Amino acid sequence: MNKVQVIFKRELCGYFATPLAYVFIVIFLVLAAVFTFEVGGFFERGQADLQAFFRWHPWIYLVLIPAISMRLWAEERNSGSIELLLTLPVPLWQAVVGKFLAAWCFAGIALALTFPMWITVNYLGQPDNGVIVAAYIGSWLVAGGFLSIGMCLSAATRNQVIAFVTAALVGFVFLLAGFPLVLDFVRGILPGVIVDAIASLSFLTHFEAISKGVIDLRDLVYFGALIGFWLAATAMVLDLKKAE
Amino acid sequence: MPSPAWRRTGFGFGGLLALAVLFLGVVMLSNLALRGMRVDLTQNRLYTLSPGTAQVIAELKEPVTLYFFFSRETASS
Repeated sequence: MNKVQVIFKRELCGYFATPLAYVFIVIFLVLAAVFTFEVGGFFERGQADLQAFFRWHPWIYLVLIPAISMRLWAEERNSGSIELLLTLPVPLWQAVVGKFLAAWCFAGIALALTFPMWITVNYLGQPDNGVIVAAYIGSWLVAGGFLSIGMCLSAATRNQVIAFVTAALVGFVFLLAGFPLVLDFVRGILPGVIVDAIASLSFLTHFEAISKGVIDLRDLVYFGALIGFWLAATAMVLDLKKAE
Repeated sequence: MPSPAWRRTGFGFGGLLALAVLFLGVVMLSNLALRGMRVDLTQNRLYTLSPGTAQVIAELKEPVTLYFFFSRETASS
């Protein structure tokens, strides 16, 4: 467990040693604010809640999270440092978990820096802060889901651009599976049980359930299983491509 | 014949497939088995039955039929 910590610390410090962290955080905060006020109609809604803020998060993550995850393994493979990392006396799964936790923690820092929104809404009215806490947890879990997908696809290639595009594409599929437009279309063709099964695989379904203010064990199990699956897949892909 | 890569690692694409099936299984099973285990974080417990409601329901002697009318057009506008 100690080695996970070492890799975690090294990776997290690595983000802030380069402009990457600052560029990412600034763009994330600007995008979140633009979507909340311009597209979401935060003031026009006339309600003291952060729904206008949170409902865009999955879509912002769809574009921005692959930008963090694309370099995780593709860069190591391209520069050759993956050889060094994998021959160190660190079990493969610990390297994978350490890198993932660092990236997830970094996404959490970016998310936490949106706190002025929370202060604003508390200043303007009396929002339900329990709902806001739940939605923050949900948003962070969605970020973890996107990260784990991107990490696995980054392990499969040495080209960061390919890693970015494939991660955004697979993430898009996981989002669309719960999008009302798509579900209504599918409902005409397939029986309801299968439609519900497809919807239960989507980030959107679970994120919306959590951001209502109810933390259901099923939603937590979903995100846990999703992240666990993609991390295990990352380790397998790395193992498969060790020789290259 | 298994390929050398397969033999070396013990995993392979079959392993990835098995993992995907396991993931689907866990999500579907949890959807069925873990109903009702939830924490309501809303301030007014919007999604939880109050003790009074629970008591009224417990005292019901006849089956209750609920009719729910919902218009998709008005809901979306």
